[in-house]
Amino acid sequence: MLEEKTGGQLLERKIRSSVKPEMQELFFDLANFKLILNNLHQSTTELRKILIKYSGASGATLMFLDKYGYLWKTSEKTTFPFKLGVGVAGLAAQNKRTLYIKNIKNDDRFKVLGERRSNSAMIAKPIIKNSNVLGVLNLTYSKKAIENFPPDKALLDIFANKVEDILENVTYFHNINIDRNELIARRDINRIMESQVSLNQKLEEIRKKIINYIKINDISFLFYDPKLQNSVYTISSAKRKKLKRIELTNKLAEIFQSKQGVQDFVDVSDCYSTFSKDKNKLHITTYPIFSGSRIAAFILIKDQMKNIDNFSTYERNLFRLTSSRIGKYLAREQFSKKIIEEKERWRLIFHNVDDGILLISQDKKIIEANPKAREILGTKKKSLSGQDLFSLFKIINSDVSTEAISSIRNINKFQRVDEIALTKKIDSFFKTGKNIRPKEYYIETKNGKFWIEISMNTALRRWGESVFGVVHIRNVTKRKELEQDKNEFMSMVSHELRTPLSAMNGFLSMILNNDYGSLNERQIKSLSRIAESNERMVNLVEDILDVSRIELGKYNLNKEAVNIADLIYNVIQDLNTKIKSKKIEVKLSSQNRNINLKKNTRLSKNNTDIYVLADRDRMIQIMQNLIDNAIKYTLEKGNIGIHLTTGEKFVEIKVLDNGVGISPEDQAKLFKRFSRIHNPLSIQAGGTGLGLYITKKLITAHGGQIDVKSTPQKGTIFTVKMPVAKQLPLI
Amino acid sequence: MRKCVLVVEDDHILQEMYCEKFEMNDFQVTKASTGKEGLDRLKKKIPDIILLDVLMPDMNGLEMLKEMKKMREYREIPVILLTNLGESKIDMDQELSFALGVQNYLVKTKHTPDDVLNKVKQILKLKV
Repeated sequence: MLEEKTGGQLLERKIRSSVKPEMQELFFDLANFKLILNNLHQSTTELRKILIKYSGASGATLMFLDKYGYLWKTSEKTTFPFKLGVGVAGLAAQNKRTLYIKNIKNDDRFKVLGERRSNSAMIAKPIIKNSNVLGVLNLTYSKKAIENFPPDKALLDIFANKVEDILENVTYFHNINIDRNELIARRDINRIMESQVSLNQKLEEIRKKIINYIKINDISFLFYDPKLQNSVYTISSAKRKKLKRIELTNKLAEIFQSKQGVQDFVDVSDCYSTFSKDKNKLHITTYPIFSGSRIAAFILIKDQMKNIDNFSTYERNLFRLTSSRIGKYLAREQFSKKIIEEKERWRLIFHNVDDGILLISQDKKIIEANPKAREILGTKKKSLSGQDLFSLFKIINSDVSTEAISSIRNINKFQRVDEIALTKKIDSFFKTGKNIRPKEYYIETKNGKFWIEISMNTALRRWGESVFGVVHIRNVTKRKELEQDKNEFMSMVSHELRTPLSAMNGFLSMILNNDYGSLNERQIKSLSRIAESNERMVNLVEDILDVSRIELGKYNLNKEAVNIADLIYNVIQDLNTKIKSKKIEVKLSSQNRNINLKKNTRLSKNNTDIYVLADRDRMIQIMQNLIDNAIKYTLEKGNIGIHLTTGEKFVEIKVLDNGVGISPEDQAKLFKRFSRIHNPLSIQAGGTGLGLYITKKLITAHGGQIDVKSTPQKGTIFTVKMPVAKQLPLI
Repeated sequence: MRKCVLVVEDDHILQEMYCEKFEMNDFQVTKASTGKEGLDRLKKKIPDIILLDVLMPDMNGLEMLKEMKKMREYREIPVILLTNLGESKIDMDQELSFALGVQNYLVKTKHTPDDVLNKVKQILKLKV
C-alpha cells in the first residue's frame, strides 16, 4: 500500500538524500518551528533566525502581498509598502521569478528606493501557491557575507516551502486588519463629521485620527476662497485655534484654481517649501476636497517618508474617504445656509409687506397669515393656522352689480350670496388654478366694518391641483371713501351746473321760438350755435352724472319685457333729424323679416315679437348711444344696419355701419372712461368719451354683453347680447 | 277764462323764465320760492296746475306734495314735477311722486319751457 505523500514531504526526502549530513539539523529546526497564530510577529522573527543561520545571509525579510497589490514586511509593524514591480521584491513578485542581484549599489533600477547601502547582494524569491503570489522571501548579503552568495537552490526551495505557511496567515490577518481599519476609520470619520461641534473642531479630530491610523508627520486642511485670490485659509496642527490666511505661491494658486488635473493626489513639495519655515525636507501631497463640482479645500499631507509614490491603498482610501466626507459636509452646509438665507429673505418680505397675505388650503383653512393680514382682519391671535377663512370676517356686501345693491334690503341674504360666490371662486381656483381677480368687499370683523379687496393667486400646484393658494387682502376703505367722495362731488357739481344750463337752454329756446319777437338770420345762426354748445354741455353733465351714478351703484333697473324692435324703431325716429341731415340709410331687420322704417306705423306683435328683459329707459339709452355713434362715424350717404336675432338665452342686436371704423389699438380702449378715439370724424362729433363706457356698464348690469369688430375705413359692428324676456307682458 | 298756474321754484332765474313763458301764453301766474310759500299761495287761490321744483330750501317739493295730499281741496290739483336731480334719490322718489299723484315728471335741462308749456296744455286739455 502506497503511502500518500505531500509535495513538501517528497521534497524533504529528495533533499535528505542529496544534501550534506549537517543539513539534517535544518530539517530538525524547521520541523520544530511552530507557527503561533496569535503571535505572528514572534513566529516571523523565529523563522528569520533559522533562515539566516542556514543560508549564511546577513539578513532575511519576509514580505507578503496585500489585496491591493502592495508588499509589506512582516517583521515591522509600521512600514510603507512597495508597489508590485517596484524594487527587487516588487519585480520578483511581479515577474514570478527569483531575482539574484549581485552588485546592488550599481544597479540603477533600485537606486531611488534606497535599498540598504550596506547590502551588496540580494535574492528575492517569490512565494507562489496555486499560481498566486503570496509574497517574497528576501535574503540580503553584506560584504562580509558575500562569500555565501548565492545560496543553494534546493535550500531556497525548502525555505520557500516553510515561508509559505507564515505568509499565507500573515496576509490573511493583514487583509482582515485593513478591512477592519477601513471600517473603523469610516466609522470614526462619519462620527466626527456628524458630531455637533464646529468645523474647526471636526477637522482637528480628523487630523488626530489620521495621524494615529497611518503614523504620518502631519496633515492640515487648506480652504480656498475664490473671492480671495491667491490665498487660502488653513487649519493645521500649528494654527489649529483659528483660520489663518496664507498667500499662495503661483504654482499652488494654479493648482487650486484649475478645475481639471487636481482630481487626485498632487505632489506639491516644491511649492510648499517656499512658504514653510520647516527646514526639514518633507514630502507634501495634496488631495482635493470637492463641494459639489467646486474645489472647496485641500488635504495637505506632510511626511518624511510617505509620498505620492508609496501611499498604500488603505492610506489613499483613507484620504479619499476624508475628502468625500468633508466635501459632503461642506456642500450640505452651503446648501442649508442657502436655504436658511432664502427662507429668511422670504420671511422678511412676508412679514413686512404692506398687504395682507394668507396661505389657505383647499378646505379654506388658513395655513399661515402675515402680520399685516392679522392687522387688517383685526385679530390679536399670533397664529391663525387651522382657522376657517370665513370665520375671520363676514361679507356684508360686495361691489357687485347694482342689481344686487338695489335690492339690498335683505342684507343677510346678500351676505350669504357673496360668501357663496367667493367660496365657489376659491373652489374653482383650487380645481383649475384660475386666479381670482381683485374684488372689493365690504366686510365686518372684530375691528368694525370696512372695505377690503380680495384676490387670489396660484401657489404650489401638484398633480394638476393647487395645494395651497395665496389670498391677498388689502384695506381699500380710504380708496373707497375717496371714490365715494369723488362721485358725490361729481353729482353735486353736476346738479349745480344743471340749474344755470336749464336757464340758458330755456331762455334760448324761447328766443329762438320768436317769443321775444322775430330774429334775423344772422341772429338765428349765432343763437343756434349757443344752443348747440349748451346742449353739448348738458349732454356732458348728463354723462358725468350717469357715470357717477353707475360707479356709486345708485340706480335702479326696473326690468320688464321690452319689445326691442319697437324700441329701436322709436330711437331711430328720435334720431331722424340727424339721419336725414347726413343722408344716411338705416335698415332695421330681424331674423324673420325686414322692418319697414319708412311707414310711420307702429310695429305690432305680429311683425316682431322679440322681447328683452330690460329697463326700458336704460335700453333706450343703450340703443341711442349705439345708433348715435354709428351716425357720428358714418360718412354722408352711408349705411347703418340694425339686425336682431333671438337665441335661447340672449337676443343679439347687431349695429353695423360702413363708416370710418376703429383701429385695433382704439378698440382696446373703446369701453374705457374718457376714451376718445382719434379719427377724422371724432373732433366733429364732439362726444364726451363716456357714451360707450356707460353703455357697456348698463349692458353688463343687465347681464348682457357687448363686443366690437371693426376694420378701419370699412366699418364697425357692435354686437350686443341682452337676456331674452321669458314672460311676455300681458296685453 | 284764463288758466292759473302756480310756479314753485327756488332759483329766481328759472322762476322768472317759467313765469314769463306762461304769462306770454295767456296764463295767470303765481309764484313761490319754497314749499311753505307754495302752500301759502294755495290758501289764497287754488291754481289749475302746479309746476313744482323738488330741491328747495325750507320745504322741498315732495314734502309740499305730502302736505297738499292731506287736504281735500288741494288733492285734485294736477302737479308737474320739475327737477335737476340726477341721483338715485329721485329715481326712488319717482315712485313716491307718482304715488302722490304727480302727473308728469320733467328734467329741467332736457325740457325747454315750450315742452313744459305743451305738457301743461296737454294736461289741462287745451289746444297745443
